[in-house]
Amino acid sequence: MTKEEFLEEILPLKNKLFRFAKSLLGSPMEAEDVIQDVFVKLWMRKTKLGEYKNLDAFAMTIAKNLCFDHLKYKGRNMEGLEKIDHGMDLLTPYKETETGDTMNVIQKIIQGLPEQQRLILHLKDIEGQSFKEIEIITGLNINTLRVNLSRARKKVREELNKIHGYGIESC
Amino acid sequence: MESKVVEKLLERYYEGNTSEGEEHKLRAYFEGEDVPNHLKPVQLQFKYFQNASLEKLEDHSFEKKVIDKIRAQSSHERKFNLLGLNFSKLSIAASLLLLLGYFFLAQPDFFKREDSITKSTVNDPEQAYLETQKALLLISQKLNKGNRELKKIEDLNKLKF
Repeated sequence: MTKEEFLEEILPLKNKLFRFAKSLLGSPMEAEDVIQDVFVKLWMRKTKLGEYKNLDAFAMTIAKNLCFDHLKYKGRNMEGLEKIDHGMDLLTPYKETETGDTMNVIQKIIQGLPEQQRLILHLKDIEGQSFKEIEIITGLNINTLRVNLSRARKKVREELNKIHGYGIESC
Repeated sequence: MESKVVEKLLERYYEGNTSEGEEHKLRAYFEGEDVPNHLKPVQLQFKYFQNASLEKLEDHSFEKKVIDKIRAQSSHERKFNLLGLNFSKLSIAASLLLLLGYFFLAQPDFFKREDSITKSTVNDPEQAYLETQKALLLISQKLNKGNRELKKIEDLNKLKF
């Protein structure tokens, strides 16, 4: 793969990879940094890239691994300091008036989900990827995926209802 | 789509059981304006997903940064490859050297000792024969002693049954 082909075929994945990394890491700056490393890794394997049937999923898998490494590294280095603010306490019930606020609130709810659930919810509901692709990226089987996805979706609904006060019937 | 149908779909959605087609229907439904009040929070949730899916990496120097990183990385590797050796080959060579070094430093007289074991101290063949016989006799004595002890155990076993 030449540099031109690389720039043309692989680099356009940057937005998707960025969204994914940002959702996992919670910080756009860190996400961009990790994504740069993803591209470096991809470039280093440029001779083998043709062998992968699903380049997209392959790139996402690398991104996932680097993000988890990053989180582990960060977790070790700021033990007890500020960890990531697992935002639930930010969600003291209040009535927001603007949609923009709600969007921020939903983002915080998702940020507060456990990593695994956050990752699956992101791939399924934001990127609209199929279970097959998510299986490749996460290495989890479909049943685990469904269970985690269900938990994540319910948690978002639950937190959102808490804030809104008017709940839809819970099932 | 009727809200009854939507609720049925949502039920499956929250269990993680909706198909891609069904999720597509839900997305389309919540993009419309006509959503009953009790489904408004869900609509916001879907709206968030929609917004989030459009987010872009807004950094015009991103490509340049990636290329710089790649350059830095490959020049680093090239330096390492000057001798035509890569890291794994070098580490194998280093560990072999270490092993050999230890071997010779820790046991400098290894080969000499081997000499002293195999070298004969007796020059006369007759003498050597006698010495050997003595040694074998000693071994057989010890063996017989052991056998006697074993015999006792055998007798004991006979007594038992």
